[in-house]
Amino acid sequence: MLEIKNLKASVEGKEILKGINLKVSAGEIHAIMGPNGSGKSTLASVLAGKQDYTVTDGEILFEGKNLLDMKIEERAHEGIFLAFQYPVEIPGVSTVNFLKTAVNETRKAKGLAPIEAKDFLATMREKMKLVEMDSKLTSRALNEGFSGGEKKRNEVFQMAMLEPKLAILDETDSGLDIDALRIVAHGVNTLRNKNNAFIVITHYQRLLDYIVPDFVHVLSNGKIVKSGTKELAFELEEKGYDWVKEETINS
Amino acid sequence: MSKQVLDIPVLNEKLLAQLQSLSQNPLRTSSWKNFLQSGFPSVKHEEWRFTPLENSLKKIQKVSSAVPISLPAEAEKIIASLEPIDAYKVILVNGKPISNLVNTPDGISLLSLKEAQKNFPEIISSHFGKYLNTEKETFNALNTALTNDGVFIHLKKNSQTEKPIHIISVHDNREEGIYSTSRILIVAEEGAKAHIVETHISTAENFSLQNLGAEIIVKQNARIEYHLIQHFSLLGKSEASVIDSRQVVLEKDSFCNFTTVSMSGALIRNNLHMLFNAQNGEGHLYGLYLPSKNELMDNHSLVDHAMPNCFSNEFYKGIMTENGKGVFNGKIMVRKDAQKTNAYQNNRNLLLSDDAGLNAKPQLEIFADDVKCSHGATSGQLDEDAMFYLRARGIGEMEAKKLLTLAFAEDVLVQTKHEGLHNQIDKWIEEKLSV
Repeated sequence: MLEIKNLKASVEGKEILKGINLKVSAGEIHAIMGPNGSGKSTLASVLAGKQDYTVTDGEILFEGKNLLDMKIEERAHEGIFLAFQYPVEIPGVSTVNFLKTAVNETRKAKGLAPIEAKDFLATMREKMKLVEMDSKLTSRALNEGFSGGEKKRNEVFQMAMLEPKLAILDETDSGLDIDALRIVAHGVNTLRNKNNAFIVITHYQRLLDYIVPDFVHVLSNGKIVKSGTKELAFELEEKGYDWVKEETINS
Repeated sequence: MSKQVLDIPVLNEKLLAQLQSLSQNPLRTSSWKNFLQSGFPSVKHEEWRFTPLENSLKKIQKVSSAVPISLPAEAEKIIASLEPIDAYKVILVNGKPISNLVNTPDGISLLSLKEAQKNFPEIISSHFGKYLNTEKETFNALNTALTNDGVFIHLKKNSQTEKPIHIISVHDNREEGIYSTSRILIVAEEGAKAHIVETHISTAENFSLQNLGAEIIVKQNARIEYHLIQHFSLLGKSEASVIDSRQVVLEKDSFCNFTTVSMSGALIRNNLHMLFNAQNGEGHLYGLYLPSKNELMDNHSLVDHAMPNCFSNEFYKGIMTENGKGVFNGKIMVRKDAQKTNAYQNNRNLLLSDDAGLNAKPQLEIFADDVKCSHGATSGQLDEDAMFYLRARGIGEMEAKKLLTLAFAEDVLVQTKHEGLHNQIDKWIEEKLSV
């Protein structure tokens, strides 16, 4: 589904990603772990198309298509979804109006007619249940005054509405208490199937108790320095990131 | 000394001819004298620095006739396209009412100034021309000199309308270079309550200039909600222009919410002055202006706190596209006696193009010592993080811009408190951004 080859990216002349290689197939969950500043969020932003980053080398293929040639919204239409670490508050835009626009713009790109109002509402009601979201939130301005947990649940709710092929969860666990974490994980686990894939970016192993990855990668200083299965996450939890760093230096 | 006055002899002759065709009275004569003394301001004049008039004034070819004409078909078409507002309607063409007396409920009179002179001579003589400053403001002087009709609204003591009053002002610019004079006098007596909507449209693409003067008197305990909408390019790009000068006078315990929405027009200059003439008045001034290609929209406001214990809140937002230019000049005056004044002003601007421009100048002049005043002005672009967020959800760049721009306008539009109007303006903004 996704193939990242020797990806290098920099911001304001400073190289952050220094040659990333990663392959994600349908049905898989990949966790990317790593210390602060290792480039985890940059990787997520580059995949989604954020313009602050310049890709200096390498390529990203998504279902065989060159992702780097696509606009931000085109990537979304192709089925890429980024759950933001810090969802933006947008006063004046209601959550429901925003979602309807997002769903219809995606449908338009696929040559489909706008969704019927009653179908939209029915889907919305169903998906809100999934993340136990208060229906009052959808009539409020997007993320405005939402608590940290509400914002993250809103991200998963949007994901459920848009049904992406590849979802990238950028530190979705940060700032969540254990209950919210369970709800968010339940949402993700319900949505996962053999046709979609997830990249779960996290600093801590905690989230991976709830969303069990097929593969774990350790990102350090802009490179994937270690890959393994879920056991790698436990090892990291126990020994800390310094262990990987040292190992890398020694090797 | 720098030349502060424009010299356009041909125009002055035309205006003089118009004056001579009207019946003379002392107010007209003194106003004309004032006009001749001040002349048309050039950009050297401090209050007109960013609003050059010379090219516009030179385009004037004809001063609109005093006789009301019938409603042009183009205007009918536009009026039909407006979101229907269930209202008591009066239609003006080039400042003169064309429809006859409207049936309004008891206590509410909506008629032409000419008729009002017959039916309400005392109210007219005690209010007309008493508030608009004809000594300092040259356009007020010229307006007062040449006014021979307009709209008069009288709200009797404790009267109320369940429906708004809608003034539809058609600027008939099917001929190039028409200059017209329009005048409005509104007197809300003690305890009266009304919602007034005023919509300005034009019939063609040509240049025209209207000089509009309005006096709005809100007596003790009276409440006025006012929406002024200027949208001249509804049929296609229009060069219609207006200089709109208003004096709102707030008496004891009265309330006025005045919202100005400038959608389109080659040159729009709004001089909105609000005077707190007694204690406990509450005044709100909201504004939204969207200058786009070759448009200039200038909002000059004066909030004059002459008496203690009053509250004013001014909130204006500008959305500039293409090479559109916005000007915001907001002056708050707190006079010596106006203790316990609360006066707030906020001006925020969105520049959606590199060629767009804005000049903002907040001014506070405070002579009382026990007051709360604040002002702020900002200008910037759309928030990049918000744009990225929307686009990452599959919303195209254009659509995302529209959503965020409408959101920007929302906190002014929410003040309309009229769903039909609110939706209409939202739709217009979307249309304007789609060009």
